[in-house]
Amino acid sequence: MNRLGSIITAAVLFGSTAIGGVGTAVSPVSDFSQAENRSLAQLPAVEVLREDPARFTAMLDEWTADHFVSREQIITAYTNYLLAAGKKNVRGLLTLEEGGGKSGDANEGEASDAPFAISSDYLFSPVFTVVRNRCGWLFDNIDRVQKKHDAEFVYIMVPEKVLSLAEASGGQLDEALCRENIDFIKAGAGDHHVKVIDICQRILSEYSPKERADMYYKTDFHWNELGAYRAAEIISMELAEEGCISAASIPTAADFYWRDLSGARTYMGDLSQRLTDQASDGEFIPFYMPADQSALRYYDSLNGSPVDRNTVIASGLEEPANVPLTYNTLSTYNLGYYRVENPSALEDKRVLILKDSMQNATTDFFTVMFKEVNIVDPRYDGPLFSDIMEQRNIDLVLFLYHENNVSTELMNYIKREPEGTVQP
Amino acid sequence: MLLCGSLLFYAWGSVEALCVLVGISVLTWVFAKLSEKNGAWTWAGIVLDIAALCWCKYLRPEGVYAGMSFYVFHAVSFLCDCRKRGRAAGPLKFAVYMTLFPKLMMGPIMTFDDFDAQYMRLSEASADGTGAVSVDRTADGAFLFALGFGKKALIAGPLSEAVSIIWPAAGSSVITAWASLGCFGLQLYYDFSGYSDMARGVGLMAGFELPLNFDHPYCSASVSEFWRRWHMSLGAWFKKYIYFPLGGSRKGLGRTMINLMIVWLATGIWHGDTLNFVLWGVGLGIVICFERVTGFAEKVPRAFGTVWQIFWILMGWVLFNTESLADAAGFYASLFSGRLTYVSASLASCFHDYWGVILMAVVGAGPAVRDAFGEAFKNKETLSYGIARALAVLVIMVLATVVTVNSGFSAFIYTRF
Repeated sequence: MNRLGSIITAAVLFGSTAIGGVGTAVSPVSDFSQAENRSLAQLPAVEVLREDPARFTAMLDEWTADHFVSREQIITAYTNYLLAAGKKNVRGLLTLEEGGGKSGDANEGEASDAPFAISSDYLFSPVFTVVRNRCGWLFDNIDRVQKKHDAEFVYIMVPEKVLSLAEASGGQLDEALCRENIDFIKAGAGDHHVKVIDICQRILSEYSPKERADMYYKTDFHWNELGAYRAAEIISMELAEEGCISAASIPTAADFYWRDLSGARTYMGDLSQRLTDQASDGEFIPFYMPADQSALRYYDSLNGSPVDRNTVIASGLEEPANVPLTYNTLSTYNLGYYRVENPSALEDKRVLILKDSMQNATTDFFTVMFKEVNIVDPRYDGPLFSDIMEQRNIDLVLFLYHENNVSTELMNYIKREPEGTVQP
Repeated sequence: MLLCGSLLFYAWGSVEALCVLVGISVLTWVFAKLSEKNGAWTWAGIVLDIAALCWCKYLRPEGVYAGMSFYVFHAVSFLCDCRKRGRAAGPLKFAVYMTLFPKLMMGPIMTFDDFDAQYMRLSEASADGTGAVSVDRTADGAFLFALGFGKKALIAGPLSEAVSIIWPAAGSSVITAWASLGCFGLQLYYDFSGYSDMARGVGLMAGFELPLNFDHPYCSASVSEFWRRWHMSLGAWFKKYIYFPLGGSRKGLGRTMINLMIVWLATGIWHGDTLNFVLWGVGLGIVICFERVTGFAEKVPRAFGTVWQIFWILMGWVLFNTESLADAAGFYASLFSGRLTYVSASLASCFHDYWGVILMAVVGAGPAVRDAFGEAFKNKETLSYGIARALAVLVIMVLATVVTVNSGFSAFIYTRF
């Protein structure tokens, strides 16, 4: 064996290991990864070492991995390489080369080749298994509360991105599991006498694949305001067909004011950072709001005073133009509770909507329609279900979730009793 | 120094686990010492070690302590080898043997006889001033370590991502099921052989030559040959301490079959307490017995034997990677029934992204790459060989680090055993 060659080989290994170790030790510590859009592990406290040495070493391992020298730059460069190489699975997302584009009148003349990003969580079976396991439990609890309150209860399913974009993806997405899930939820609701409205099928049949692609942000988990508006229209029609509201109460296009923010603002989708913002350009950013807002009153608590609209809706429009809009800042944050009152509404009913984030962009539509819209996101702190029902004299309770989400928080929320105890 | 380093290394994971390791080691040595006067103590020690392993593996809610499945085998090896010699080795030597950190977590399993020979050589080298560690061995170790790290990070890691994408979609078509199974088979090979190379590399740098654990097993022409080339140190352990003491193949064909089935049943149970592992061990035992009775390997063309071997090994991996017999049955159904060539979205995206890795994994599973490297550098005394090897280490370390930083470190599959 050549001695010099051996020395070089050993030196390369020990040198690269030492550079990694020393570099990590002396690198400035940061709390947040921009490249991954997540908080980084913190150094464990000395108390942890005394209480649980195994946990201390595990935390130290995690900290070391999270603060590896130049980690942020390595991740950014590698993600850019994956995107440039045309990889489909990038940082837990499936990126679609096609899948439709922007509406022709949105960014005319600006063709975008940015890929659609789909969270891989909604492509594979584990998430569907979870949904199915929870289904019976959820509808059993909804059935219990609907028997206790003098109001109509309706469970509404809206289409998640995979289902809507499957056709436009040219076979890159398989929506079969989503469809099975819809059937499963319908059957579960039927078994427990819960009324269910599935708008997924109508969205799929009434809008072309291209039109549906226009209804979702490319770099976000969610639909855009156009998608939400069209969904809200169909929900209203279905509610009218079910006799929950009058058909005359359904708002028309004239009730809303539309803007296209695509040229003036940029959009930062919640999946965008995982792609190091490489796919953010060219997002279509439609925006709507009630044409007449004079009668609308906004509340962020059950018994408090009115607050400004931008406290709960479209706060991002108040920010400087160079601040990217997000789904939350363009519609609403996932607030535990807020309410919009409209004395001149088309329908004299008070509605309570329990929802996931897909609902956020539909609020403005419903505030034109209903005299009072109470919105609860069970994932966050808010008033008790029974308090809202009684204090606001709710006529109609809507559960608005996408078809792949049967929420544990929803189940726990509607079970909660006034005293704070939980039913067995 | 080696002992202190090994203990610190192990304590880093769990102090409780270290206490168990120390406890078992102390008891094993005491039993070995007692067996100098009465051989029955050897059996008592073996029973105690195996009982402790079984308790942790099958009854303890948190499962087995890290590395316990492997260091208990080392303890049994020590008891058996000392009994044969008629005297127990010294406590320091035994402690180093039990805790030697490169092999502590997942092997390779080293018999005490092998260790002792190397320990003696190293002691003599230290005593006469030639040194226990040479630059050449360190370089060999560095190369092996980098090679193992590359196998783990650059091949097993991406394959693990591919498997996580297509395995859940296996039911969508026969081709998807076979593709996911094939990818898992390759992932398992690169994950474990990558670890073994890293362990052997670190061992060499520390002065010990740990046994080879993998020798291109998927190129084997029979299932029997596969198991002589896959996890070789485990096979050697079972052969030396179970198969041969039972009589091996010296007591007629019938007894040989029984002995083989006992070994394979034990191998299955060693991997886990579920029926899947029992069935896996028994199933492989039956195939190996069949090959033995029929003289399979000598009678069929090598290409056919390789296909036969891969088929049965993949059938076994189904049991390995499913949690219940029902899951396994569902997967077997996917392999042989349903839509034949439907390319699901999962499969399409998987092959789109990972075809290069899959190709590399398939080619690397054979000896071609190693042979080509050997052919290119026939004379290992040249500087060009040394530089080529250093460059390979550099490239692998950089790429593997980048990939690991991006994907996060995933545990080696065999840590669960």
